[in-house]
Amino acid sequence: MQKFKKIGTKWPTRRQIWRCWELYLFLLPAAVFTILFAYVPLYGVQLAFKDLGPGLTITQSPWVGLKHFKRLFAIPDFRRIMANTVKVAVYTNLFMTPIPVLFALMLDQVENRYFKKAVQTVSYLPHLLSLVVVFSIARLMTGHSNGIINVLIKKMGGEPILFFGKPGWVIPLYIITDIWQNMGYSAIIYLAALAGVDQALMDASKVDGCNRLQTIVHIKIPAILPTIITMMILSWGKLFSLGVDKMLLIQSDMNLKSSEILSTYVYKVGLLQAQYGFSTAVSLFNTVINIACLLVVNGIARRYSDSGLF
Amino acid sequence: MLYPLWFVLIASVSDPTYVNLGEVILLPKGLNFNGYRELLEYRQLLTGYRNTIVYTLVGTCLNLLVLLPASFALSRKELCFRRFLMLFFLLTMYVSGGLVPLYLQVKSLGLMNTMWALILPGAFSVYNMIICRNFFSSNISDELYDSARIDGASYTGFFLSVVLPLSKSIIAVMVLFHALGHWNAYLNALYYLSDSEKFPLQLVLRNLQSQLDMVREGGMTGAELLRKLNLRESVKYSIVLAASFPVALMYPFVQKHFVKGVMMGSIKG
Repeated sequence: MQKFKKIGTKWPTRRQIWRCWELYLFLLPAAVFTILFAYVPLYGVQLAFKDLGPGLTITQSPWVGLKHFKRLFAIPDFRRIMANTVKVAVYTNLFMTPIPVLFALMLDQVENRYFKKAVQTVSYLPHLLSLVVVFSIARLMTGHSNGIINVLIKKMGGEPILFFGKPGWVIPLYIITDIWQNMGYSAIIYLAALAGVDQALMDASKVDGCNRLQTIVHIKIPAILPTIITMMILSWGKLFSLGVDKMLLIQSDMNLKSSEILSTYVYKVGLLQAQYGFSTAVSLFNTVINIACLLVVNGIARRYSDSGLF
Repeated sequence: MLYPLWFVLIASVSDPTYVNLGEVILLPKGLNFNGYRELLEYRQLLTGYRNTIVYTLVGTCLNLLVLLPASFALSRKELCFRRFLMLFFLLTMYVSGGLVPLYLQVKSLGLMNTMWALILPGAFSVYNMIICRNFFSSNISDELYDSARIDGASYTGFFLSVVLPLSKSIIAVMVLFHALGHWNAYLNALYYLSDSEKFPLQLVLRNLQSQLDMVREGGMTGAELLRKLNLRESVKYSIVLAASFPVALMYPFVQKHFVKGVMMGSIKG
């Protein structure tokens, strides 16, 4: 095996390649799927600069230059869609970064082991539910005439709120469901990090007369800081890659003003209105933003914490 | 955390009249199971159930058949061009063609409106490959392979009779992740399926919710209609539980693997 140690620096001989032919066979299905469903569509990105003619393939279709992009930047909704995308992305991240940490710290303070375990187990149950179920529950609870939340509001003498029909409630709904679904799951990793805090440090702090809060601030938080930073890089790096699946469940004609984000727009113009070229241009625009964002976050992370993504 | 689920549960077995009045808050009132009985009348729901079970089984099997050998191959240091191959896969995590090119590709492969449109595009998950690869690199030592080699095992033999039995925990985690993904997916079905006979459970659920809403807004009167409407209310609650019931049933058995999976995923590759 010794002679294979340096592979990568030297061009391998044919014999070395031939030796692991089985491994290439192992990779074959994965490679086929990747080519078919990632690289072929990637090649299809040229559609962003083309108009798909009737009966023509992507390659045969005529080039139209930056037409679709010009149109995108010119449509009156563009600024609103961008603003919505940024708002949803930033707010979600602002909440989803600290809340699991706080939850983990709180749970860590619980002395009773069984209670702790029980709470933790329950807390990540919602993560298993599908988005459709989560929003079905949300809709049932916020129903205008008979949802429990509006019923309580009415009992206290307030006016019922049409949660899924008001543009102002889009982001709160997005964030609240996100917290409900993912808080416990995201906290798992912090709890594990907290469990690994050196007991000697804890004892030392006790001898030095730290109270609970001081122990948390001076020992526990510094101990899990690397984990927090890594998770932050991961989540802020994919800031703008908001999925279409969740927003599509919140969206209705009534709250379109603040629920239209880039990915739902791609879906709408692409699959519902079949403007293939234009939709591809919008998603290409989104991909470019994603990559730029990833590079910026990674750059910042590298400079300040030497724990970049790559 | 649990309250929304509890609320749906008690509301689904309560008399809808009380639910509407807001008297069902902590405990069910007017206990009955009409909602569930009515549920059996919705044929589309049963088809959805059947479809989802098929998609989940077939999809998960295919996922693992693709994922495990590939991750193992990429975990072997003697694999030539390993860095290039990793890059080839990793790149697809960051850049993608977007929705329309993928849609057109699925279309040109003739997968539209078949179950394969839900299964094949996501058949190989790079993210899970990284997790598995890390597991293999740190748990399958070179010495192990060397000794198998001396005993005359090929890579295939080694993989099947040594690696897989040693990797039960990661396999369990991967089955869980992929099965859950298939069970909960609705988006691909929305994109690629037009025949409602093939809709998976989640899409049926999504459509039913809005259908039930629309009927409600019809604003009809009469005692019989009122009863019907009330029943519909119960159905709305019971439907949610029916859709997540298998997941909840599995939960006690899988939650250990769940945590393990997160920890495995957190090891940087």
